Amino acid sequence: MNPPMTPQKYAAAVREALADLPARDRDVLLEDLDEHLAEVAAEPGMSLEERLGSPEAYAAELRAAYGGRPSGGGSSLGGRLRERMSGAVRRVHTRLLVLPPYRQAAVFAPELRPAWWVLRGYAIALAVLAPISAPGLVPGDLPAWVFTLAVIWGSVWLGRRGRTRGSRWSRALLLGADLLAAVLVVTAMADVPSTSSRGVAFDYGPRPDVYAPGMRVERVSSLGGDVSNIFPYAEDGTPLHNVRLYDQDGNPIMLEPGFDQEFVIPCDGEPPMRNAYPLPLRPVEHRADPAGPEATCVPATPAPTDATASATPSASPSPSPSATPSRR
Amino acid sequence: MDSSQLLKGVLDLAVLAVLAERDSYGYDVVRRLREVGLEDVGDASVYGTLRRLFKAGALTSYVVASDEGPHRKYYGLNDVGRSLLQTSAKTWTSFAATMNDLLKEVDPG
Repeated sequence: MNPPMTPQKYAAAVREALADLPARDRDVLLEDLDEHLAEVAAEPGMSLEERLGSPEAYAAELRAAYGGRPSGGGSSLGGRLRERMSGAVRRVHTRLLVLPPYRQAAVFAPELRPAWWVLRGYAIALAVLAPISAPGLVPGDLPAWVFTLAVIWGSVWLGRRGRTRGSRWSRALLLGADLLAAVLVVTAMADVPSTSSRGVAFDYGPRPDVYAPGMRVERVSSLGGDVSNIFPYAEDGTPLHNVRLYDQDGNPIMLEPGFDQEFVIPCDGEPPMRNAYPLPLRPVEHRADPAGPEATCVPATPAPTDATASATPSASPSPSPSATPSRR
Repeated sequence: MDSSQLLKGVLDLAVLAVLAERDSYGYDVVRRLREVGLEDVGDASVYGTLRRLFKAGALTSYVVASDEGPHRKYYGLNDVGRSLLQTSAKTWTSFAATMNDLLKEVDPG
């Protein structure tokens, strides 16, 4: 039988068996191993190996007991700060563990991690693609899909590899990516209503001559494309004129006339209200002289539609005569 | 059932309980655990557990120099450790009660 190992030799063998840990973690873990082994060796009767088993087995047991994530730390300011932070977090965590719902959530949370890896890869891929592809919450084309799947694969790979591996910088980078992805996901979710195709978007009036915030309605009809005018009818089929539409907050509901439509502005009298329907629109004429006055008014008689003729005072700020026909 | 398997789950609690009694250094913790009947407890497991609990902020530590023999690193509970011990003990007590209840009718022979 070999001569019994000295504590120093035994400790060296244990260190070697834990060589794959980052040096920093290993040092923290094995800080006072020599003293400890010397203490054990001082017990009479058995050798270290008889008492503790092989150094390799000892190292494996040590590793298991220390847990999967020997965090850094040490004497640096960042390390101390992190230690205090994790201490504080743990304290709160420990207190909260008294509450059964928190306990259940704490048990359940780790199961959601793979889902987060996928989501985080997806969010980051879309963020990278955003400047070069069509806006949206799904990749636009096949290359975009391939790229997205590749990023998700990478994200999952990183997640499965675990946080313990890698340098401090790569962990910090990963944490940054996590935060970025979280922000992206939250903003994307907050954005969904305004990016949907049935958008009813708030607007501060189509032109500066309307001061009250108004509603601009786009694409409310799902069949025929853009809505550029509204024709109200009474129950008995009589067409109605000059019907004012307001939203729930009292803001006028306004439509954008299409590219080929312009407002008919009477020469005398007030300009048409932007929320009195049907709107007095007419097709845009191609002007012979582009340098000439942009807007041409029409004499009150004969008006193309009698909606323009009535100019009743209204509660909303009255639009001042505008030289520019509204179009976009 | 191997009692060392059971021990793994409650080693933290056992170590905290021993340290709640009085501050100890690593090998002393091992010895005291064995004295109370946890003979299967592994030296490395205790050592690793102490290091982990310390890193987690549940323990304080200080080195005591000794004239004969090596310097000893003593560990003791701080507030975090005490509250951890309290919640873990509560969990264990209710778990043990449940198990006892379940095994009431079983004759261990």
